[in-house]
Amino acid sequence: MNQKMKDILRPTIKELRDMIFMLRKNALTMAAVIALILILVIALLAPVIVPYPQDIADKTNLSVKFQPPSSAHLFGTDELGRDVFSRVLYGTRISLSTAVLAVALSLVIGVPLGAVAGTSGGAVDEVIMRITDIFLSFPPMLLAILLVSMLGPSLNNAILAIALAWWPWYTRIVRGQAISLKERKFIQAAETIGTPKWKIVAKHIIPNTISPVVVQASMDMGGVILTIASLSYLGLGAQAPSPEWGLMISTSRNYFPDIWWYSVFPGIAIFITVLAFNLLGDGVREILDPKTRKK
Amino acid sequence: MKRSLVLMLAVILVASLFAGCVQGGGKTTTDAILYYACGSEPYLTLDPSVENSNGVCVLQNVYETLTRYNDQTGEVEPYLATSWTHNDDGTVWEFTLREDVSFHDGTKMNANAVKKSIDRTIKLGKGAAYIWTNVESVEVVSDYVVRFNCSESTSIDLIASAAYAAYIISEDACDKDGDWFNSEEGNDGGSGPYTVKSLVTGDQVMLSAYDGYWREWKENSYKMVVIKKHVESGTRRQLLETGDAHVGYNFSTTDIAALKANEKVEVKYLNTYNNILLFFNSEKQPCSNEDFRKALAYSFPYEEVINGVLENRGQLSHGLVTPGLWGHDENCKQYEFNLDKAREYLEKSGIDVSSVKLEFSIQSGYTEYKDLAQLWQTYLKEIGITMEIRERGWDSHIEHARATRPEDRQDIFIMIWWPDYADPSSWFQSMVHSQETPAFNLSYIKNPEWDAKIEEAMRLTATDRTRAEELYKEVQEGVLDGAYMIPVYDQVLTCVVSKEIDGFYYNPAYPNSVLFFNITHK
Amino acid sequence: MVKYIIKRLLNGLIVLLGVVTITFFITRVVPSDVAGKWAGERATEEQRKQAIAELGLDKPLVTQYVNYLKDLLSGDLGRSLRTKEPITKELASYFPATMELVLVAFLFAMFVGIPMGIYSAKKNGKMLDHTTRFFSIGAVSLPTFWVAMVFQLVFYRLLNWLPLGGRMSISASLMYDVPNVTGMLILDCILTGSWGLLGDAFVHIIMPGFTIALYPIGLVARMTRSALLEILNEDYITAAKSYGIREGRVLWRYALKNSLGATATVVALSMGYSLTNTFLTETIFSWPGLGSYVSKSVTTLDYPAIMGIAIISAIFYVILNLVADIIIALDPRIRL
Repeated sequence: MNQKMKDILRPTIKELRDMIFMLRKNALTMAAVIALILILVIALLAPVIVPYPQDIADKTNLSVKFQPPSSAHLFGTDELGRDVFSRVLYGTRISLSTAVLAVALSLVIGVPLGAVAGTSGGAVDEVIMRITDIFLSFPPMLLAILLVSMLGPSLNNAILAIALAWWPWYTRIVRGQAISLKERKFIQAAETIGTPKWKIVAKHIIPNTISPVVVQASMDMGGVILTIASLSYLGLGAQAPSPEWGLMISTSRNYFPDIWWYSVFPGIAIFITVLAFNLLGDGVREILDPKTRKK
Repeated sequence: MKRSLVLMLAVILVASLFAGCVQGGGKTTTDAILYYACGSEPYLTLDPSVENSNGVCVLQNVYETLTRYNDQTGEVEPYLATSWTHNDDGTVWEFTLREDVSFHDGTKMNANAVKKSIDRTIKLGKGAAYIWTNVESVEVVSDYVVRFNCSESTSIDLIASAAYAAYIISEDACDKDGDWFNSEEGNDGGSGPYTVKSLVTGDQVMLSAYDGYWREWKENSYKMVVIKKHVESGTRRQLLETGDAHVGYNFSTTDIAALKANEKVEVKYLNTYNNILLFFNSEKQPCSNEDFRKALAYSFPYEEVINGVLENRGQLSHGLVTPGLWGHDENCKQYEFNLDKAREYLEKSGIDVSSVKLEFSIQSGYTEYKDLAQLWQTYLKEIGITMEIRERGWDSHIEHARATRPEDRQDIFIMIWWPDYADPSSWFQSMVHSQETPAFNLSYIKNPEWDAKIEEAMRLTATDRTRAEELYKEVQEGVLDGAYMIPVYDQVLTCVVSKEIDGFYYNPAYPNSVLFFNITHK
Repeated sequence: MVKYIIKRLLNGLIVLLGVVTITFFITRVVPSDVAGKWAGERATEEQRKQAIAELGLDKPLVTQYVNYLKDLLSGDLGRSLRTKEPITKELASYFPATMELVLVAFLFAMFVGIPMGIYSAKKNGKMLDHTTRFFSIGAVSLPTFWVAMVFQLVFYRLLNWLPLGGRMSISASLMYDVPNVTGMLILDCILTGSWGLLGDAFVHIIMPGFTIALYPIGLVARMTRSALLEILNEDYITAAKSYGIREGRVLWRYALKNSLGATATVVALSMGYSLTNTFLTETIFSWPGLGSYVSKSVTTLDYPAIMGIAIISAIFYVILNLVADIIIALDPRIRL
């Protein structure tokens, strides 16, 4: 198990090292990486570093509601007198964790289906790919809206809905990988010695498709964060008193533009986070794309 | 080729920009138009027998009812009917009609039209048609006298003044279906001061004055009215600030503050017959425990919600029935915010709070619900109770509360209620009277004694109102004493009216609607 | 070629059937008081029973499904539970308004996105390239609903350059007969020659159109850039350059032409995103389109309306995919 893990990881690590080397040549992408590290640190340490941890869920103070930004409240306060700065920082934690969960869940659905479709071919492949076609011909946002409205609004259901709308993309990637892998010697060898199909899929196909899938997943993070914020904005995601960014903007809309700080800062937080992920994704794509690399 | 295409497009766009600037100055036509900015769709359907929603704001100006409720005197007044009588037990009612009224299609308003309208509404059986449940038949006595025969004592005069399902429609229009009423060309069969000129589905209604109206038009009345949807409070505010809109309802606290500072408009706080109620699930642990319910009732920050969250858009409730309606009891028991008492009752209840996780279901899209829920949540936390807030669209909200098994339902529910017509029976019949499958009895109260009292009170409404009022008071005392449901606040509507107009009056019996006929420009 | 298109068409039909089937069963499986909604908020038991019969809810699910498909084939999508209007009528009223926004966003994407992409590719690796890249990626990273609010703040409240929302001003709608040919106001104005109203309509569409265009602009700029870079590295371009053909000419004549296929595909697909973004911004701009209809129908669980929306969006998506496929097929460099 350990040896195998290392076998899988070694080329990945090498790829990673090459990638970092390439990244360092691109200032914009490098900035994105630094921003992402910062965002991650904020997300991890949020409960400790926010100035008013009580304002996340435990305390309201109407006597200080709608205070404009000041040194005590960098981003001002909201309609219940809570510190917007603390809530926006804490929101990082929510957005990142839900996005990771949603992507992970769609990988869990999408990767095995893609691997099976790619290795089996024929009717199984046809059926799976038609199903992905159906899902892909639906605006992902609309599908998520539909599902959440049926399941009932909550952050967990939003994650589930996004996963259900997103998996076909991974199915397609993995299927493509699997088809090319199928022709490789070690898979054919496994087949000839009579290894059961499920074992080939689980032991050989899926582990070998991990790196392109992980790259794709990290590029998708920005889109997923935006979708979650959008769902929450529509009232179909996070529930009060959660300091989720989309939910905050949705509530703040009632007080816009007088209480501009309540709307503006969560929006900037979404923008920076999504931008960092997208810049990274774009940089990675550029590095991986052999055609643009030539230059 | 491509370049010339682009050039052409650019020329068109620039030319149209100029055209827009030239036309922008043409204010002359708008002067005579009353612009009413509403917060959601102006109507769901304009079929007057069916509409049970926002459409009142249109229907009130296009159609008329036999009687009309005067909220100042508490009396029912003549409208299309000039007078009415009933027999001793209140089962037979006769209305004498005005003889000078014609519908917009030119036909006369008479007993036949009244019979056909009410029959149509009952037969369609949609919307608020149930207000006529006790009516067995409508009879034409003579050209201008119509008789209602009821299965039991019923106050038809009050019902006939209802904002929904009581409109009188021309005979020809009675034969039409919803599609005709909702046609974008603008069709109607009313006798009111305005006719429907055109519609934009789900967005806008345009009304124009009816010349043959039976009351006299004033020189400076508005001959045109636009009712248009603007979902955001901020949009409505901006339209009023620029002077585009003349009337708008329901604003957020910050928008109200800004509008108050504006000299061109006046901010009005309008009392309503609407109140906001909390329902505890009396069929599910832990709210099945009366002491626990009382603990919850004492932990709710009533004053703070009214002063801090609503900022005068609500008043402390006294009893289930709102002030201004008969049956209202200013001395009715009311809970106050007192965490010590809440702790006391919590202890008495014997419930281990550490295992409690309450679900509070609220309707989405209303910041006041969300705010009061979060406020309450923090106080509950102080006495050790965990509460989760679930925001749902109205339909999921209500359907969740009607789930087949009581365990699947929420612990606490919140909803706004208003009477269908100016009568307190609506609160009791809908929310207290036991129901086999709950419709709006969302505390799931089952009390035969109260049921009997409510039925008795409804029977006595037309003949012995004093006794009816006493019975209602007894029942509401019982409901509050058992802390089944708690009226949280009586809604106060914020309305902003341009100072360019005169004659604005709001009658709470007709929600969100104004009689444009009475409005004149200065 | 024809065979390929027919195959893609058939594929599209299968996808549509799948969408219909999935939405039908999703909406029916969830327990919901459909009859209550049809009969009205405070309906009696009797009215409820009447409603169940009217809607055919007493029949088995499969029969309901077959009936739905039959009605669908004859163009009947049923009636909204909320407004009791035919869904087809409501869609016909809302969809063109949304379509207009999507098309305007498409035009913005072409006229802003492509030049941005070309510029960025030309300056590959330089500061200007980084700047345009930053802008194009920034455009797809913005939450649309937030941008809508900020635009209103800046262009209406602070600068008062553009109207707050709506499709036309009230005064204009009274001064002119509002044409209704396709339901897309600007197009209708051009078709009927209502030049006065056209200006007003155009001014009203700028802000919502540009808000929705941000995403496609970013996408198109990125795609154009990478497609161009790819082609600029190819041998024939290098050859052309070495023949001494001016760089600008090489770029416009050869490279851009060949990169259009890839760009067009992305443009077509990004219109799908635009459609979704209208769902988030239409209420902010008081735009009477599908977006407001979606949120209303979803929060009121108006199943026939939700089905109608799903079907019309799926048709839109399938058509876009088909267009993209055809463009790819027309590209001589891709062999089928």
